[in-house]
Amino acid sequence: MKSKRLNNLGKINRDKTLNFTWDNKRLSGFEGDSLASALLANNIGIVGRSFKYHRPRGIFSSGVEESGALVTIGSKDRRDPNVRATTQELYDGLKASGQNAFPNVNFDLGGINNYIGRFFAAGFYYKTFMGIPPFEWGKGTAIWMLFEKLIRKAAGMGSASRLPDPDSYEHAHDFCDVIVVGSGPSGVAAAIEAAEKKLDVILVEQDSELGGNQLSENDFSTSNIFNQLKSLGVKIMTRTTAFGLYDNCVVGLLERVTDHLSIPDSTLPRQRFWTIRAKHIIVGSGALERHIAFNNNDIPGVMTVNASKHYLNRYGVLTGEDIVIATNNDSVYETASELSEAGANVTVLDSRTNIEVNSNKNFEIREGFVPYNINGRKKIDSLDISKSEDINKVDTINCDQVLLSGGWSPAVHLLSHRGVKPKWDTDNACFIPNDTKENITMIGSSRGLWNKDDCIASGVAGATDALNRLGISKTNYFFPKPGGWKNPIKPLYEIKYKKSRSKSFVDYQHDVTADDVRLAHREGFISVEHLKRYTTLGMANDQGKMGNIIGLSLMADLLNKEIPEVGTTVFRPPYTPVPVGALSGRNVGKHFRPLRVTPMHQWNIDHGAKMIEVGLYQRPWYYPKQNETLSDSYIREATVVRKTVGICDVTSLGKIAVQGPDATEFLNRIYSNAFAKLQVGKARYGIMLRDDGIVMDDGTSWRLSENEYFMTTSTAAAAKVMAWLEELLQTRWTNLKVNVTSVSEQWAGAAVAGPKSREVLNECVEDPSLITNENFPFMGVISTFLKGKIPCRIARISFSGELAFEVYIKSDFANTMMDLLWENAQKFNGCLYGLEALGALRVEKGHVTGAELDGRVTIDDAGLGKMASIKKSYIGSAMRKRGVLSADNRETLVGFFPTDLKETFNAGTIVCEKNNVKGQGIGRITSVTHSPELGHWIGIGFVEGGLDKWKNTTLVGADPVRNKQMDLKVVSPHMIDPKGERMYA
Amino acid sequence: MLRHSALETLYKVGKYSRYEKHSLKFKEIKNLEITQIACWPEKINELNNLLIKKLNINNIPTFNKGIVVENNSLWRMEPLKFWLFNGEIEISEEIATTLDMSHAFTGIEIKGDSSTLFLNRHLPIDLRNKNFPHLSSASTAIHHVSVKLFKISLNNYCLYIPRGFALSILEILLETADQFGYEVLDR
Repeated sequence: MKSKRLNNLGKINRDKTLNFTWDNKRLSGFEGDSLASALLANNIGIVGRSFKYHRPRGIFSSGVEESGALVTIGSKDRRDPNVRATTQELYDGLKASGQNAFPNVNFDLGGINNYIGRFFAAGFYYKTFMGIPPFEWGKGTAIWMLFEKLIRKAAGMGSASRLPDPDSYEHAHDFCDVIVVGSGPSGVAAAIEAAEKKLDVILVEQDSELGGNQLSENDFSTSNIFNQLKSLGVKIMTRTTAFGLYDNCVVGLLERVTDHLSIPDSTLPRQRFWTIRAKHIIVGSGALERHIAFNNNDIPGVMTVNASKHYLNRYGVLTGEDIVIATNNDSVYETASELSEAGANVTVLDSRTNIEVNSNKNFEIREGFVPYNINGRKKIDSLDISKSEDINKVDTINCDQVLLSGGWSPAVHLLSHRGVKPKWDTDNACFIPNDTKENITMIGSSRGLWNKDDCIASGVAGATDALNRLGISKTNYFFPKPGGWKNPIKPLYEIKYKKSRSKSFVDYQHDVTADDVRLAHREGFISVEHLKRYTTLGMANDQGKMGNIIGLSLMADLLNKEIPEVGTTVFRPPYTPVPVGALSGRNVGKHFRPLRVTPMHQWNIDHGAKMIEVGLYQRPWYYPKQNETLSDSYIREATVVRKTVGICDVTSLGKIAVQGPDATEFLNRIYSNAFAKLQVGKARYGIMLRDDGIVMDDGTSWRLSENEYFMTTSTAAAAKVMAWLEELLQTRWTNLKVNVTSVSEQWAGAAVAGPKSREVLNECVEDPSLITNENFPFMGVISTFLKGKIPCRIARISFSGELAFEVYIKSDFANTMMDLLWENAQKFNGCLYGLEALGALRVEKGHVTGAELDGRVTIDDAGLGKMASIKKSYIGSAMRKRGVLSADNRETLVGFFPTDLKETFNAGTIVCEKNNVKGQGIGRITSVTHSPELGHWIGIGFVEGGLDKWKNTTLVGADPVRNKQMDLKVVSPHMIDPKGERMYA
Repeated sequence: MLRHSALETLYKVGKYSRYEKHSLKFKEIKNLEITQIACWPEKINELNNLLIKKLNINNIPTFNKGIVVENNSLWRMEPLKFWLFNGEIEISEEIATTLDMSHAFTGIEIKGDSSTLFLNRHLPIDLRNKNFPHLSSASTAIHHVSVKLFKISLNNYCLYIPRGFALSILEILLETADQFGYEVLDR
């Protein structure tokens, strides 16, 4: 192939030269070039190596259907593989390289595969590497896993960068009355018609320029239609591909924002992932020209006819000097004429005879002839041709390019996404879109219309259809009939090579040959879906754009059926690849999840907290002093709490306002213990069960007034409990006058725990008399003021087992509260303590959390059976009495000590009987800590039969994950102050 | 009494743009005051009459709509729930419950020519005027966080974010705003 730039054609900006590199070779093009056109202008013929056989491949097309020129763009962290050179706009400094080749695409050691290709037929890998013949050696998964890695290295496409992506991506949403996909003549006509009728219209075009296939016309200018559409208020989105249609007229778009820029604006995302919600979708996605299967039909220099026309008239590149065009339809003649006028020596092989051609015939037409075989390895030397009625080589034409047109396939992919099966149009030898009840209208060549006037008429009809379906008008309209050529197309899919070894490609991208299709048939894979998966025909990002119809025709022929009887596969989104980055949008890195912080987050950090993620929350984990480890720190913190006082941010607890005349009755129904007689100014610990009798969550509820409660939940279950309460009120107890509102964000909370906590609070409140033991007993609640007249709520409750209080304050005052508490805690040598110390304190005390209440535990299992009222009905009260939930041998909460007190153990340890260490054992350890108070490791968890059964027996803790075992002693879970004397002090 | 903003560490007053364009303006709403009014179903007419009288308004906003009166405003967030801004009201528990939510949310005004375009980078809400006219509200989500959006006038919105998420959401909003050019206004 000898391609070259012409001076008198093309819409490129010759005043702006762009330099780029191809396989490290410096080349240049012009503004307006695609990478493919620039490569052709520089007479680069080989741009890739094929998927399996490593055959040299050139540029086949000028659009998204390209399956030869898949190249790698960029380098290092901006290296993108598998980019279609045909859709990549050229920019200054672009670095492109071939892929799937070593050392390069011109000389590739992998090319050896082409000579041993007979071993690589469809199904080769599965047959061979899941047990190597003849003795099926290594049969099984392991051997396949081994070979799979090697196969994946040897075959395939480019390799993605392993470095973090430096670019940003974003999601976006838009809304319109009508979205028009495609800016060809039909799409523009539809957009204008709809906009003139005052509809909000979005026009989407995957190219950088409007016009669709008209861009291949020499005299076409995009600016006129751009201005007209703009003046009508149409929102124009170029460089944007509609990759999928979804329920309720939702269209997925990918906008390439900076892929065409030499130096991207750092404020812009590289790509934008749009979700468009339209009332009606008009699809004018055009049609794709098919190739023809015959021997060596993939040698660089083979191209579709229409692509050559694009390169000629849009980019000013003549793609060959001696060109043979092989066709079975009328669409090629204008191109043949233009190529000839541009200086090429053109011969047209038309498989038909007695055709009428409107052309000045400055080229030779050989009617009744078809291509038979291309001679050449890395470039076309000549073409053997045959008569169409009697397949045998009859002549050879010296040429450097073979252009193919085996007919056109409407791009029905988007409609197929909606589950609409296309129907076969025998007259036009293509699938055309079927009817749909959804608000989707297909127009232009995507519904099988081949001439511009018909396309424009269909665009107007499409807009009218939209107006009618939206109830805006009731106008009669009609769509032109599919077709539009003077001479009927004559189906031509494959010219069968008579010699034994043939490389007649059906699907270029996956190296699927006509023989592969025949092999699939022989081996029984005759369903189109099986054919696709067995041969890889039309899979992955190609989605059958070029080879699908040829594959189906071959299978139909083998089955002695018609193509529609064989059917077609379902095209799935995306129509063209969508990068993972675009799917993620901004939800990456630190924004992978939204970060939730407490109002004193910065205060905690400023006071030395190391933070830990707890769900979405960031919570203080521990507050190390100089050189302290986590263990050092939490042991110190817990020790200080037991000795004097500590302050802990407990804001992350769920908080729910329960208001209304029936609030008490409501709580009495959802908690297992009695709430009916809870006094105003008192709090009560409550257990909430699920309907099935299993514990859902625990927490405290504070009675603030006759009809108002302040409920706390565990951090993890806050949202679940809130949703549960809403559900109960909205579906079961609609007669209860209760409002529940999450106030988790309204209130910040701090625990003040330790023997000196009362004294600290005395210093912090306006009225210390409220804090005395008499006025403020255990489980008491007061609403009062911190110094500075800051309103607050304080409850005397304890998670640590010490004398303790929880102080809640409106969130914007949280820092003030912390300053005040901390200032006074320091007077008593107090400390700030984090989640790790909090955990240690509660394990010592035997208090349960989500680690214990894991959805399998009953209230009795948790040792809280006394809190299950027998005098009232409540959620779960019936189902908790099921036999299985009250069996004697259920796992019950206990404490664990290692027999050797120097031993450590981990949460998750399985508890087993001695000499019977297996399976799930007889229990599990759920939480562990080093106990500062006891001076050794302790744990809580569950064991069958509970403490009474095992208190004098040595058990074994098995930790198979860490390959560890230790002897255990079962003890009471309440390892310190079992009578609660400290809490009540 | 000094109220600490949830946005303190990120809220830097100034203009941010590569191209001297500032088609977005952000302003945190200072000293936010929100009272939630939640009515019992059979008492809605009584509540309506009470609100009309006490707030000196002509009619009650329909669901997802609001009314602005002098210094305060009333927004109907749910069929039976209202948010009253900058106003106190006493209502019998027989008619409705009231709840202070002033510290539960961080409010940010977002205005400017690009504000609708900008918000639709994150919100799947049809903000076109014919579907979301002035004084409309919506409960929606940004980055999976439930937020409330109020449209005050053309290209003039108020966004209410749960306080604990406000910093994280503002950070992601400002990253998006970078492409439009933006200004952070004094509170």
